[in-house]
Amino acid sequence: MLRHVSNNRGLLVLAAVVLACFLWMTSQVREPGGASLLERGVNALAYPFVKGTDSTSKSFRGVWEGYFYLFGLSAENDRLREENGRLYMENIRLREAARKAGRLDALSQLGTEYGFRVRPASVVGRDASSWFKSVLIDAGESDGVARNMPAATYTGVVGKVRETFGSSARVTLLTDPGSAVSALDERSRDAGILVGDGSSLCRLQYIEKHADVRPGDLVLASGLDGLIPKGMPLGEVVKTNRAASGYFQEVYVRPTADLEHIEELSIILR
Amino acid sequence: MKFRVPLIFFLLASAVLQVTVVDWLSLWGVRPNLILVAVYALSITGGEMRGIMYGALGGIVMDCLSGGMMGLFLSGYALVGYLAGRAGRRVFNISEVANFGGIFAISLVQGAYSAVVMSTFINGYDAWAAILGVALPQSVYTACAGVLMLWLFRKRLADMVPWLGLAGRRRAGA
Repeated sequence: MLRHVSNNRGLLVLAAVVLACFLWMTSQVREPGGASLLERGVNALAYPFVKGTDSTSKSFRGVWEGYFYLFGLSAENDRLREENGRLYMENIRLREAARKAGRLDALSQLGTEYGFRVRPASVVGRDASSWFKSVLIDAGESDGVARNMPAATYTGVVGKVRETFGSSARVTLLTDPGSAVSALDERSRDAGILVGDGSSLCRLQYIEKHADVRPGDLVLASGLDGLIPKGMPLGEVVKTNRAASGYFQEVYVRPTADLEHIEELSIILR
Repeated sequence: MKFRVPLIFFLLASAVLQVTVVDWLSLWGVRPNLILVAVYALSITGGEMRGIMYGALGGIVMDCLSGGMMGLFLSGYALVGYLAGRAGRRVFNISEVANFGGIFAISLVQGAYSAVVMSTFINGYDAWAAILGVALPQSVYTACAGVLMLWLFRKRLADMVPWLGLAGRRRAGA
C-alpha cells in the first residue's frame, strides 16, 4: 500500500494541501471575527485601485496613510506574536523547573524522614528491550553509588542498583523479572518475596493460602534482605487468588511508585 | 567479509534511538525494537554469515543497554540474523508486505527465544504468558514501525543496501 501511495505523489500533494487548508480553516474557527494577515495584505493592496477610480488626491493620500497604518499594525502584530511566543515558552520552562524543584525537594525529604543519606538522580535512559525493566541514571561510582543500593522516590521503593559506571548506573525496577525483594503485608504481617514478572505488576510469593492478605493492603520492605530498609513502602495488593494450585496463594502487587513515568529518584547511600 | 561503516553506524544510531526516543512510543510498556529492524534490514541482504555477525553486534549492543542477562540478546539476535540472511536468499521481491512479514516473524522468533531462555534462568517466569503478553504485541508493533522506518529511509538505504527493494528496485533473482 505504501508503494502505491508513493507512486501517486500528485494525490499525496493534494492530500497535504487539503489537510493544510483544513488546519488553517480550523485555526480560523477557533479565532472568529478577526481578519487574517493575508486578508489584511490583500485588502491593503487592492484598496488604492478601488479608491482611485472615484476619489480626489486627498482620498488618495488617505489610502497611503491607511496602508502605512496597516503596515505598522502588521509589524506590531508580528512583534507581539513573537513576544507572546517567547513568554509562553518561558512560562512552560519555569513551570517545568518548578515541578522538578518540587520533586527534588520531596526526594530530599525522603532522606530526612528515614534518616538516610540520599543522592538524588535523574533518569536519563530506559531499558532498550521490552523484556526487562530498568533505568539508567546520571549518578554513578563517582557519586558514591554502589551495587545493590536501594532506589526510591517519595512514593516508595523503585528498585535496586544493578550495575554502576563512572558517572551513571543502571537501576533494576521492582517489576523486572529478575527483581526480588523481601517484603511483608503491613496489616497481616505475612512475609514473602516480592518479585517482578515483566509486566506493570509484581507478585508476592510464598504467602500461604490461609494468610489474610487482601486487596488494598500495603506491602512494605521487611528489611530481611539487608538491602532495603524495613518499612519502606513497596506496593499495594491489587488481586489475590487462593484457587491456585500448590501451598501458596497468588498475590499481585502494584508498586506505589509510578515506575513507567519515573523521572527522578534517590539512591539511598545509608 | 568485512563490515561497512555506514551499516554499523545505522545499527548504532538505532541503538541510541532505542533507549531515548523510542520510550516515547511505548504502549502499555511495549516498544518497537529498532535494533531488530536494523538487524533485519542488514541481514536479509547480507546472507547467513553476515546476518549472524550483524545480529551478534546488534545483540551485544542490546545486552549492554538492557538490564537483563548478558548474552540473551546476542544469541537471540544472531539467530534471527541468520534466519533473515537465509530467508533473503530465497526472496525475489522484498516488498513492504514481505518486510512486514519478515520483521514480524523474526521479532516473534526472537521473543519466543528470549521467553524460553528467561524461563530457564528465572524461577517462576511464565514463558507462555511472556510470549503472549510481550513478544506478540511487540512483534506487531515492531513490524509496523519497521516497515514505516524502512519506507521513510528507503532512498538512503537503497544506496547502502542496493537490492533491499526500498526504492522500487527489484532483486533480479535468488
